[in-house]
Amino acid sequence: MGRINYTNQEIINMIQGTVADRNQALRWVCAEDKWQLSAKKKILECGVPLHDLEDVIQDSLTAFTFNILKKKFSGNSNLSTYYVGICRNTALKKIRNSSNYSSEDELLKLQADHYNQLEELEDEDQLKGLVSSLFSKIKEGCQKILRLYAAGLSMVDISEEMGFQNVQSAKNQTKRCRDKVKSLISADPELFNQLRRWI
Amino acid sequence: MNYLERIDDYLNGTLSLTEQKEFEDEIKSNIELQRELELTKMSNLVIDAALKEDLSATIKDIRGSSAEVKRTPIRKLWIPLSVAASIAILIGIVLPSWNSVDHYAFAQESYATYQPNFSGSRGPSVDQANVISLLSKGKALEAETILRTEKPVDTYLLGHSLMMQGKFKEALIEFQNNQQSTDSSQEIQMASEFYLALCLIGIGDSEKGQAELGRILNNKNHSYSNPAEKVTKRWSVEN
Repeated sequence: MGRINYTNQEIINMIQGTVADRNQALRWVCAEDKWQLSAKKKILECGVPLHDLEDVIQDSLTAFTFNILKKKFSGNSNLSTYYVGICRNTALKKIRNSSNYSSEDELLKLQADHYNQLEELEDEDQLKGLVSSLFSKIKEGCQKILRLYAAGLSMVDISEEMGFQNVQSAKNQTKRCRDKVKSLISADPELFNQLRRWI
Repeated sequence: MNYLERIDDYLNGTLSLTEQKEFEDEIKSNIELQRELELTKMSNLVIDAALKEDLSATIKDIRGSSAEVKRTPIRKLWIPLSVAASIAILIGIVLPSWNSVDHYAFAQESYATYQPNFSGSRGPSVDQANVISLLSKGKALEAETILRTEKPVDTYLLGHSLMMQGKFKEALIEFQNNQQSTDSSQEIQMASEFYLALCLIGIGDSEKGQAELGRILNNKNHSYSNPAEKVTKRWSVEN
């Protein structure tokens, strides 16, 4: 069976579309040997040890999808080049975070890199912990709405994904869920102070 | 426009320059708005982080399932293939590409049967040892990635990494390159001849493939004469 070839714009539209479309695009990207081979080559060339290769690919795919969703891809390069660029940055970040890192030149390259659009969070694990703890206090339906909202879906799409009867319900529910997050942050001065360092 | 909408527009950069200036001036004097802006930023940060977590989990699932599909042994594919073939015969349809599917599957089956035992091998360099270890675990794409970054390329191992992925056309070129190389040992050259024959069958050039197997069979000292004989016999039975 032949493999479908998508254009850059089609992949972007799918990632920015419904959850089903996004997953289809991700399945395509994951199975695209040319993309994955170039990415793996680049990561290994950066000096990432083989046992970290899969982790770097995983983080890079997440960052790639997130950036496309947040419209951070300028469209000045081919999408596969952009993906490989993200892999390179993720690889360099991985090396920088490991104690064996020794090349200052590569660090400078990383800082000046055109594709360096990933968040430079000092301690992402800590943020993950805070988010996880905060989200556990929110109902599942609300969590889903918030993820759809963060993914940039329109109120019409959120309404469809959630099975609401009309768009106004989506608007009301989204606002209610966002307010819930704010009230949880507001009610916890320690959390408030911790989050302040990242904004 | 309420606070939240204005804050969203400000953070999304959709306010005009004048509106932006007005908003920033208002922030300076309005503590409530300052607080709301800060909370919205924090809330967005939290929601974005949750989205990333969700994306990461989805990608992990997708990667896991695609790896499973890639690892599906060809033997398992025979069942749906044979069911499809039976249906095609029953309804009187001749599958136009049946021959090429047959060649390809035959070569994959033969390769799976006579694949070298990589697990017992040790490469002279660390990288080669890594590649051999990956090949023995069936991680062909990873092995191919490493091999392509090396210079000079180990054409024999690269051929195997490609064959494992069913890329017979590319593997054929590597085994041909290997045969032309003066660096390979006689043992490796003989192995290359056998796998090259399978590649030829895999790409549908069964005549040349059989001719290569015949040459191996004619050489009594060839270390692959036994598998070549078995493959030839199986080919004549199935065709």
